[in-house]
Formats: sequence, structure tokens, C-alpha cells
Amino acid sequence: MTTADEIVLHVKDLYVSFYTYEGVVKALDGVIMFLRRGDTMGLVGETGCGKSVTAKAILGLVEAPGRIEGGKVIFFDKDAETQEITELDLAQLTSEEMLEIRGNKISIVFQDPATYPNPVFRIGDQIAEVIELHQDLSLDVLYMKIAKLELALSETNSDVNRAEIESKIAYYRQQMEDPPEPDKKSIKEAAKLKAIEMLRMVRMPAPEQVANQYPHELSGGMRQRALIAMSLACNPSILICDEATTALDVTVQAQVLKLLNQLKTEIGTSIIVITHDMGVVAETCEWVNVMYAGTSVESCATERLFTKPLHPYTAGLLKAVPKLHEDRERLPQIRGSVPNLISPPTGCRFHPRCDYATEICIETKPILEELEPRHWAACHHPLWTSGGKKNE
Amino acid sequence: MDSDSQIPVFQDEGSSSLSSMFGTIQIVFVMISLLVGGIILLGNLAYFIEELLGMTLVPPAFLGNWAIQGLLILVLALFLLRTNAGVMERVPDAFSSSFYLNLFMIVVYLTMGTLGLAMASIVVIQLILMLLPGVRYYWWVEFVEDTKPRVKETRFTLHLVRKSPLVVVGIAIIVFMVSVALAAPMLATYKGEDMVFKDVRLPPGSPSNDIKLNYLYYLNQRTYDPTIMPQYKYEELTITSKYLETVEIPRIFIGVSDLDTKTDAVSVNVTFRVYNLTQAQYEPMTPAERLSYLYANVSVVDQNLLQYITLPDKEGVYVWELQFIAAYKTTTWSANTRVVLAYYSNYPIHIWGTDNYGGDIYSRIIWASQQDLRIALSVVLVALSSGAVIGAVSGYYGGKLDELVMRVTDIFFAFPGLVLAMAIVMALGVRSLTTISIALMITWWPTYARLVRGQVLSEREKLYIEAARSSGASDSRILFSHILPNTIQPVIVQATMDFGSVILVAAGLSFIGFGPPVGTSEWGMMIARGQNYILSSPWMTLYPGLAILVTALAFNLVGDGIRDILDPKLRRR
Amino acid sequence: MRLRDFIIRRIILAIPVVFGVLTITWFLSYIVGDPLAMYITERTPDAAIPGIIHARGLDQPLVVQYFLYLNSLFHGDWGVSTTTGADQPVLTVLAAKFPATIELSIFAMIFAIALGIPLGIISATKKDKAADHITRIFALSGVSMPIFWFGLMLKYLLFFQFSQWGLPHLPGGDRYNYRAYTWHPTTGFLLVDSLVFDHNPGLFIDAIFHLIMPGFCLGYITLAIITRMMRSSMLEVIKEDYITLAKSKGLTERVVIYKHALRNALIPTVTVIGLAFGGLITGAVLTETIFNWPGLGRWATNSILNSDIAAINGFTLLVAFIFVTANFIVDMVYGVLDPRIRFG
Repeated sequence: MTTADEIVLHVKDLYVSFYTYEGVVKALDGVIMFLRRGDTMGLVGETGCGKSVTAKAILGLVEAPGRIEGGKVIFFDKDAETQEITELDLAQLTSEEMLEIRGNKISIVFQDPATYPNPVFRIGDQIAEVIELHQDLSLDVLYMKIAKLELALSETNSDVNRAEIESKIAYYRQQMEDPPEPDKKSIKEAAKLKAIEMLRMVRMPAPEQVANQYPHELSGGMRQRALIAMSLACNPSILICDEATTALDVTVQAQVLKLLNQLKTEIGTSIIVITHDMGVVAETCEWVNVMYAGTSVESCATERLFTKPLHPYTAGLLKAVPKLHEDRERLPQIRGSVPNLISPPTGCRFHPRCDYATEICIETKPILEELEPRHWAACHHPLWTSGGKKNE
Repeated sequence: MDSDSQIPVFQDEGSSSLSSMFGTIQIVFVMISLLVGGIILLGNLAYFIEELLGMTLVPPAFLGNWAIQGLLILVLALFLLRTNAGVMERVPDAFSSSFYLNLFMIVVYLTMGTLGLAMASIVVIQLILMLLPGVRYYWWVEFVEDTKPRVKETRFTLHLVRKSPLVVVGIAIIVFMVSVALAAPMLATYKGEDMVFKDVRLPPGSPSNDIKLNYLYYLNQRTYDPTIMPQYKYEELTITSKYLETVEIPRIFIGVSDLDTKTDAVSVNVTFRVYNLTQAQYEPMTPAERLSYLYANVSVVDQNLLQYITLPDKEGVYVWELQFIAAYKTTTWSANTRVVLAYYSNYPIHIWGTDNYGGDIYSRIIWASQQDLRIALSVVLVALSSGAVIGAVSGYYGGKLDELVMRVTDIFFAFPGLVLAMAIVMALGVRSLTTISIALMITWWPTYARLVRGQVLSEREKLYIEAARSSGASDSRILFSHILPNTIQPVIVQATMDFGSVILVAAGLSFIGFGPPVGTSEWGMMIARGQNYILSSPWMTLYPGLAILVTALAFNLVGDGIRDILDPKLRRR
Repeated sequence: MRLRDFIIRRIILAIPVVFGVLTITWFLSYIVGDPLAMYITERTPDAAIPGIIHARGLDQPLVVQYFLYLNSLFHGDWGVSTTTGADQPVLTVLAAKFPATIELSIFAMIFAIALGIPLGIISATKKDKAADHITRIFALSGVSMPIFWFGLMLKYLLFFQFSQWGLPHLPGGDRYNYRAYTWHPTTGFLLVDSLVFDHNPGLFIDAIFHLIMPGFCLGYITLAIITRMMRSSMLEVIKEDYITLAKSKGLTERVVIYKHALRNALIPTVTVIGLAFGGLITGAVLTETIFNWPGLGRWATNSILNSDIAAINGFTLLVAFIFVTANFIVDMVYGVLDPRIRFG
């Protein structure tokens, strides 16, 4: 595979189960995926295939009755200054250690902008909260103080005051080398200024005003931008967008996608886009990971996936996407329905719905293998190869 | 979605005419039920009003009678009428609703004595009709399909209940209290109104200072045919430790009086004998043989009307025998005599002490549980049904009606509840448990009206109601078969917890002196009695209060627990 | 301005409620007794009665009587109460007794809020664990306990038994120790008067000690209500999406609960607190009777037992007024806590 330098996140054989009244729901059954630094990766699949659970497992947010049963979530943390890379297994970290990662190194944007922002706090305060929590603001505080003094300097007329202010500015400049621990109030102020900065970065109109508004006063698109600003506030290495555009209008959706692409180049964040919309994948992602019923079935570059899918499920998924140049009465669909994860099918989980299934599919579970160069799939009978034969 | 595939294919002429015939029969039966319910309800209301006006309180009053059952039957029958109309039109769910309603109807009828039994059997016939092969073939598949999710949901609820210890404890206590109330005659050692004046304010566990007459045999107005004199009456007498542990010598006294002349000058001679025999040994013997086993013997002759006999001083089985001999034999004369056999014994121990009138606290608490639970049940049922209907209608139709109802409930909420209840008790003029119930019903309904209205308002806007409306369902159908069932959960929670609150408020009312007449066993009254003696006899206050606390706590535990369980937001699989 | 509109609307909504209560009290004076009883006592000379009947318009038609009744109420003439021993105008008695009850109620409320909210939070965050069960039993006991019985038991144990055992004990009743201290009522609030006007810290401490038992007794129900409400609203809130978001920010469990969840969970709790304040005044009826507290509640009980219509009506009107005011304040606080409402 690719080297650690290139990869930022590697999920290895992740197992997550939910212990419910009706039985154990094996929500993730050996999920494998990797994310390259600076890449946008799409995580695609039907509703209930475990995309969101994967995201929550990465962040350590799987809640009872769910439990991570096994596997590794390796995060290659690159220090911004020293460029050193440390390898962390997120599944093994204690909850205190995870607090350092969450919102700071890895952050998430959720689906529904209507319910995710806390309704009783101002937008600005909610963004400032993350900044305050994870960032060392001592330098920012000094900059803020200097900026304030300079403003006062331009307004004052008396020479005595002028001299006093200038000496103060000089004093603060001196501290820049080794900034002292600032007091709580100025940290709050600096964080708020930074939050406004973040709002500006996500192209929010009138960010100063929006920062003082409550979530219910904003439109859905604006709220989603605010949530993105919140996630990006600490320049995370990985941004997970969990159906971040699904609840938005198509036009707003396009704006948000465009914004994400722009921000990626600006900050250098790697993005995981969780979606069931192939259009979103085609538009934003370089790499795609297809999931089915809690398993990874295919992983390859976007272009390759759309032109030459290896897994029958992916092929079926692509056929179900309406195309402009085709004129059809009815879109083809994959027969059957999503399996019950309490008692999933044996072997390949897709075999009851697969047109190519044989004995081996029922008996053994296929492994995700590099079947073609830089193209991984978990299938006994991949398409485009000799094994692929439709059985009627 | 694919409901059309669920309708069986055998929709031929025969079965549909059969089902509509069945529907017609059911509707006729329901009409009968409506009539019965209405008559019972109106009759009871009339009876009750007459009582109020005439101020002659004849227990059992308003609620002890069938008014509640009448009301329930009326409501159930109305629902049945609707569902049966639905059955004829093959509305989904109608069959199962009809089935459940019929079951409920049977339960209600079974609480109503002979008439109820007759009506219940009619309903059973209806159900049997439903199960006839032709009809059953028609509805069974849908019924099973309808009930499946409900059964699954119920199972899950039971699973959650089993997993929450507080609810289980609460239910256990409630079951215990209800069975105590039902079994009060067996459990209580004294009658609720009993006062043993020698036992004033005894601490818990003290024996009684007084002795009690226990009637062994009581013969009244028996006519003797002189031609067959002498006549015997015998019975087995088992001497147990109860007889031997008495303060005084265990004796039986025999008194005879003539009921014709109302004097003690009797015209029969009565001889009382105790034999050292069991009944099996006694019966085959001749009187002469028996005499050798005679233990004691006493006669009441003419004016000598009262005699004592010392009972055997060992535990065992004996036979007592009464022999009547007419003073003179004629063919025209007969005696009409009362014979009383009784023995002295101790009063039972006062396990929880006595009050200032010598009432046994333990027994009074047990008898009071009947009263308090009955008040709670009647108040909650009446307040709930009237409040729910008012709230539902006002929430569903909205507008001016809603505004009016809400202002009225506002006024009730602004009024201090206890003061209002007191004023109503005063206005009704009669101090009784019934009066308290009525006062509490009047103060309580706005809670339910508010609750149901809020639920209906939020439910009304939901999409499935829109769907029902667009498919042409009538207002009352939407309200009663779509909205109300979905608002029932918070109402159940509220009602469960209100059982506790009603008990508390009723106790509070009687504590301040608005309770039932002096002497009635009621927890609040008992505390009120005890408060003046709190320093010297705290048990008078402690135990009734604990009874209230435990009962109300049980209802609150269950209510609070099932709120967690039923809450769809907290309900997790 | 939005706030002004909001206040005006609230007042308009309150008017029918107040009128309803007024009408019911007037009705009661007819049903329960003679409306004349409001204005005469045993000490009124017989010769004066026809004059009073005429002056009060009691010989007029019912509708006129109703308006005359309202008129006299608005002019501060609430009838004469005999319950205090002497014939006193109801308003005078209300004014004299009001501070004692309010002092007790506020003390009870502070106690209930200070204990109820943390208990509710603990119960919700430790759901279905031992701490939750204990808290719930404790809280539910509050709503399952007859307040008068609880008061008697407290008094028996903490006052009588402790003094029997020679332990330090709480006073068994009254507002302060009449023998040890003298109080010159200025505002009627003993705690305020003793510190501000009398400069008597000993009296202040004594008064606090006298408040503990009735305050705890009265506040227990409210404590229970607050705990339960806090628990259920907290349970609902921690399932909300914004809590997931807060967790994904890397905030600690403490901050998530005490900052993000608490602020939202307080919104329904505040409503309950406001409504419970009205309930406290009613609860005072029983508590004051037991602890011999010279407030409105004991007076109301006595006046009911004496069929003192004027006093009952006065008490009822006051409670209704407090209820309406409490509701109003709740709505205002609601607006502060929940930006979505903001008097919109």
C-alpha cells in the first residue's frame, strides 16, 4: 500500500456491534479504508450500511449499546512545525486522550443544520468555544491588544497619552517572543475575533453580525456554513462531512460543496465525504470507498469507479443513477433489500442480492484485495475479470 | 404501501354477505349495550341527585353503584358502533379494534352482578359469532397482521418494565395494597369502626385490656314443632389455643329468649352439653351411650335464662349439643326462640397500637385502604374521561371553543386547589367520602383537559392525520381512532401518578376537617386524630402516614418509570 | 417594541382568569353562606344590619350585586375577617400576614432549587444506576408524602425526640423565640427587619433556625417536582443532536452536560418552578397549620373552619394573583433562557 507519509487515516478491520433487545446488530463487520493526505474521499452506500457508524467510530463517539469490538483506527498525526509524524491508534486511546483529537485534529460536520447547532448559544460563541478549547491563543491575544492600542493611538490627540500607548505597544511587542499566559477574559475576546475570522473564511456574509446571532435566526445554508466554520476552526487534519449537504437545497448544496473544495486547498485538510449521492461523489471526491451492510466492498479512484467498477454492488448502484443521455421509463434497481444486520447473510453479505453469486459467496467472506492496480474490491467474482459471469 | 396484497383473494359473495350480516348483528347488540349503559347511568344520576336533594345518604352512593360502569359501557358501545361500521366497510384495524373493545366490554360487565353476567354472555356470543369459520376466514388474516406489531411492542415494553427495578417494586406494592384492600375482612383483626374503650392509646404490640364475646352459634326465630321434641342441634367444637389464652376463664354462655312475647320467659327448656367426642364418634351413638363421654352440661329452664358453661381446658375436638324440650306438649303450639352461644376471648393484639378512642390502628389502616383506593380510582377515572373528552374536542376544533376551555382551565389552575375542594365540600353540605370524591373530580379534570389538548394539538399537525383527512375520514373518526390513541401515553403516566396525588389531597382534606364523618376509617382522618397526641403516642400518626407514603410512592414510581419506558425519545432497543 | 407588546398581551390574557376567579369567589359567597356575612360579624349591632344591606346593595338584583361586589373589591374593600379574633378588614390582615408566608415560601423555593437541579442532573446522567434509583426514590417520596404528616414527623423527631435525648434540636414552631428576642416589625419580613432595622443578628440566626424545618417541609414537594422535571428534560436534551455536536468538538463530559445540556434542560424546568411557586402558597395552608406559622395559610385554614367568607375570598384572590404573576415572570424568564422565543 501507500506509505505512511502519504496516508493520514487508516481504518483496519473495524468491528462495531450494537447490543439491542432484539439481538446483536453487527453494524460494522471488518471495515477497511484509508485516506490520503490532502485527498477528498467519498464514503458511499445505502442508508444503514454503516457510514455514519464508521465516522462515529473514528471519533470515538460510538455510544452504548454500541461497542467497538475490534480493529484499528490509525491516525498519522503530522506536527505542523516539525513535520514529524506520530502514529496513534484512535480505537485504543482513553477518552481523555480522544478529547484532544476530537474537534482539533479530526472534526465532523453533521447532516441536519436545523438540529445540530445548540439553539441557546450564539453562533460566534459556539465557534469560539472550540478555538478556546484547543488552541493556544496567547499570541492572538497579544495581536488583539496591539491592534486595539493602535486604534486608540490613531484616535488620541494628547501627546502624553500617545507616549503611554506607544510604550505599551512596545511592551507587548517584546512579549511576542515568549507570550505570557493571558487572562480568561482576553482569551474569550480573542477567540471570538477568531470565530468571526472563521465565519469570514466560509464566505459568510456579515460575519460580525452573524456571530452575535442565534442559530434559529439563520437560514439552513448559513447554519451549515457556520457548522463548517466550527469544524475547521482548529485547522483539523481530517474533516468528516456526514451527509453534510443532504438536508440542503440543491443550489445551496452546490455552494457548500464548492466551498469545501476551496477550503481544502486553503487549509490542506483531508476530507471524508459521507453520502449516498453519487453526484456529490463525482463532483468532490478523488477517491471512493463503497460500503455495503457494514463491510467495505470497493475502494478506488473516483474516475475508475464510474468507468470500471469491479464489485457487482457498485455496478448496481451506478446503474441506479439517472443519466441525462438515457431515456428510460424506469431506473434499474438492485433486487431485494438491505439485509437485517442482526442475522446477516453468511459469506459475502451481498450474495442474496447478487446476480453473480455462487457457492463460494455463500460460504466464505471475500477479502478486500488489490484486484487491479490501485483498485481494491472484496468480491469472489469481480466484474471485468474472468470470474464475472452472470448466473440467471 | 402494499396493503392491497394483504387483502385475501377469497372476497366472494358469500363471505361478504356473511360478514355484513355479522356486522348488523353486532350493531344490534351494541345498541342494546348503549341502552343498558344509558339507563344505568341515568338511573344512578337520578338516584344521586335525589340523594343530594333529600340529604338522605344511603350507602353505597354515587360511585359505589354502577354509574361508572354505565358511563364506561356507554363510551365503549359508542366506539364499538364506529368500529363495527368500519368492519362492514372492511376498514383496516376495525376487526382488531372491535375484538379488543368487546373484550373490554366483557370485563366491565363482569363487575356488575347478575345483569352484567347476562350482558357479558351476550357479548361472548358476539365473539363466538366472530369466530365462526366463515366469518373468521374473512377477518383472521388481517387481524393477525394487525396485531403482530402491537404484540411485539407490548413484549418489548414488558421487557423494559422487567429491567427497571423501581417499576417492578412499585407494581408489587400496588398489587399488595389492592389485595390488602380486597382482603380487608380477612386481614383486619377489628372492624373499622370498632372502639375498645379500655384500650385507649396503647403502644404498638400491646394486648387488649378488654375481653370480647365471640358468637359460636346464634339461632334466631326458629320455629319448633312440639310433636318431634326433643330436638337436637349439634356441631363439632374445636378448642384451639385462641380459646385457652383468654383473660377470663373460657366459658360459653347460653341465653334464651322468646321472640313472640319479647320476654325472657321461654317456653322451651334448652340443655347444652359438651361431649368428649368427635363428630364421627358422636353420630352413631345413642343418647345414653354419649352420656358416658359427657364433659359438661347445663340447662336453661323457664325463667333461668342465662347460664355459663366452662369449656374444656385442653386443645382438641369436642362436640357441643343443644337439646330443646318444650315445656308442655300440645299439637297447636310452637316456640319461637332465640338461642345464643358465645364464648369469651381476648381481643386480638394491637400490633400497631390504638388511637385515643381505642381503635386498632392496624385494622383501621387496612379498612381505610379500601376507602382511599376507591376515592383515588373514582376521581382519576371521572376526571380523566371528562377531561380527556373536553381537551380532545377543544384541541381538535380549536377556535373560540378552545379559547373558552383554556380560560376556564386557567381559572381552575389559578384557584388554590385545596381551597376550591374545601369550598365545594362546604357547598355540598354533606361530609362524606362521596363529597370528597366529587370535590376532587371537579378540581382535577382541568389537568387532563390541558394535557390531552396539548397532545392533540401537536398530533393534529402530523402527516398521518393529514393522510387520514385526505382519505376522507370524518372528524370524529380522526379524533377518536387516530389522534386519541397516540395521545394516550402521557395520559396514562399522569393518571398513574394522580392515583398517588388524589390519595394525598383526600387525606389533606380530611386532615383539615373536611373529611368523612367521625369514626370512618380514612388515613388522613387517622393522622388528624393523632396530631394532638403526637408527643405521647406518635404511632397514631406514624403508621397511617407510612401507609399513605408507601401507596402514593408506589403509584409515583410506576408512573415515573413507565414515562421513561413509553417515551419514544428514550425508548431504545 | 416587542417586549412591550408581549407584556400587554400577557396582561390581556390574564384578565379573564382574574375575572373568573373573582366571579367564582362571589359565587361561593352565595353558595356557601350569606353574602351579607362578608360585611357583618357577631359584634355588628342588629340595628346596623339593614343599613349595611342597603349600603352594599344586597337588596338589589343579582347582576347589580355582582358589579357592586367588583366595585368594592377594586376600591380595596374586601370585607371583614373575624378569624384573627378582632374584626379586621381583609386587606389589612392580608398585608400583615403576607410577609411571613412569602418569607417561608422563598426559603422553601431556594432550598428546592438548590437541591433539586443538581439532583435532577445526577439522576439523568447516571440513568438506571444506583445513584439514579436513590435520587428518584428520594424525589418521588416528596410528591408521595402527605405534607402535614411529614411536618408532624419532622417536628416529633427533630424537636421533641432530640430534646428528649438532650441533643441540639430545632425549634418546633413559630417564627422566632418570643421569650428571648423582641422584634419591631417594619417590613414584616423578619430576616430583613432583624438585620437592617433592628440590627439584631441573634434574632436573625434564631429566625433562620425557625425557618429550617417548615422550609424543608414545604420545599420538599417542590424539590421533588423540580428534580423530576430536571431529570426528564435532561434525559431528553442529552439525546439531542447538538449534544453530539458538542461532544464532537472535544468538550469534556462535564462541559457538555453543565453548559450545553443544562441551559437547554432548564427551559422546561423554569416553567415548573414558576407553577410550583403558586403551589407553595397552597402548600403553606397545611405546613403553617402544623408549625404554628403566623402566615396566610394558617389564617386561611382557620377562616375556612370558621366559615369566614371574606377571608376565604381574600386568600383565594391573593393566590390567584400570585399565580398569574408567577406565570408572567416565568414567561419573561423563558424568553431570556430560550432565544427562540424572545417575545416573538
